[in-house]
Amino acid sequence: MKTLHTNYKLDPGVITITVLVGSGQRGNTLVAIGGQVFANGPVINALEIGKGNELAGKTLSVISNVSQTNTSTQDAVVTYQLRGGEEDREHRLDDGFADGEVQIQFVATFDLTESP
Amino acid sequence: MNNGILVTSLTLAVTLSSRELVGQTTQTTLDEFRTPASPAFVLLGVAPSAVERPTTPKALAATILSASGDLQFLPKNYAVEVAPYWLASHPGLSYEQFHDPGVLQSLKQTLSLSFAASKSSLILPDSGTAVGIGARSFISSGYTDRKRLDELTSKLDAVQQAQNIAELNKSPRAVRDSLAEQNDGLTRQIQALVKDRLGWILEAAAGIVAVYPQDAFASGKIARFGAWLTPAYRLPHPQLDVLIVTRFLRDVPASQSLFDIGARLVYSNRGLSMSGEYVQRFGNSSASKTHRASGNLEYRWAEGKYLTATFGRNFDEGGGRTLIALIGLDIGFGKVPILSLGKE
Repeated sequence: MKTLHTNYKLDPGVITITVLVGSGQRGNTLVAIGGQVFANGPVINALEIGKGNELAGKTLSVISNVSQTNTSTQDAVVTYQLRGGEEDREHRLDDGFADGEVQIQFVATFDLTESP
Repeated sequence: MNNGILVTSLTLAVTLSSRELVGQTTQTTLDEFRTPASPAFVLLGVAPSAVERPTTPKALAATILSASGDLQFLPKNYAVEVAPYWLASHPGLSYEQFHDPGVLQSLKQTLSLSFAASKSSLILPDSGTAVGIGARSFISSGYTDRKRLDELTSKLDAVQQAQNIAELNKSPRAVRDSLAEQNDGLTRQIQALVKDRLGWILEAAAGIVAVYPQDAFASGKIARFGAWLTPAYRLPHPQLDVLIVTRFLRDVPASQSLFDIGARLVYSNRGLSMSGEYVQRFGNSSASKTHRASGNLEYRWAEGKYLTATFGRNFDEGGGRTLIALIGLDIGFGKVPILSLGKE
């Protein structure tokens, strides 16, 4: 499992998240805040998770399961794009499929905080 | 002069993660390591077949080929093949783009560069070393059985989504293990399906070879260069490959241009593969007209373990060594880590 834990500073507007699974591999991503699941599928594109003033203090969980369907490379890479907060942010998680392994779970958590 | 050639081939390959160039063993099976002869090997004239089926490249593959007329098994031919595109990370390359690449993306994804060195190439005057560099890429990469791919992808999506929920809910270990097992099975089915390209594949290749008589660097000179196209068509049932090659070669010392045209038929059923090939060579003189004709049997008796045998007539390069009598053995070296390049 590959993990990322960071924070994201909010603005009052609508917050969106995009998750890209790269390297030609197949991945499905779940986006949730607490127990509320916003999406769980292969395409997470500009998904609205709420307004900044409603999200402060919550934790955004993004769980991706990536399978090595492309054997030309051992790479697995997931890119997270957060928009609508104090500033747009992009994070990337890289990993490689190890011996006998054809799936990797990526778990990213974002603590959503108010801008000072 | 030896007329018989006994060949044992050991093919080693490893894929490299651009982020993790580590010496870890890969899970890739030796089946995938059965890289066809690199363009450099083809130009050196040490390839077991003159008409190779195009395959998608690995990030890095190494081939050792031992050919000897006196039953010595020390390798005399080495090749390294690199797919530059896969040595870099591609965070923006989606599953869909990978499976439906346009011409430019296909060229990038399948471009591989090879370097080979040989001490037994027929183009060597006497003792010495011949070295070659080559490149190849798919202009058209055929297609995957789309209906089956969509079906498997849909099943994999369902399992991955269930895994995500299981992770969110911290489901019991047994539930997660069961889902992981289903994921493994489906992923491996997709891997196998993706490798099995159907329809028309068109590969373009080119290379150049230099010889170093007596292994003296100063005496090195360009001996041969060439370019070729290999259209291939695969029928799924029965599993039959039809391959055609059209090749241009320039023999620099002899100042002559050579043209090859030929075909190969490959029939595969379970672990057994049978093929026959014929390649006619034309030149600017009648003396350069020659041909190659051979039959090949390949049997896989276990995963990653192959026996191959080839018999036939090779091109007459002027030395009279035209008999091809090859016995090939692929043994399970594929899972041994051969590179350790440190970790970022």
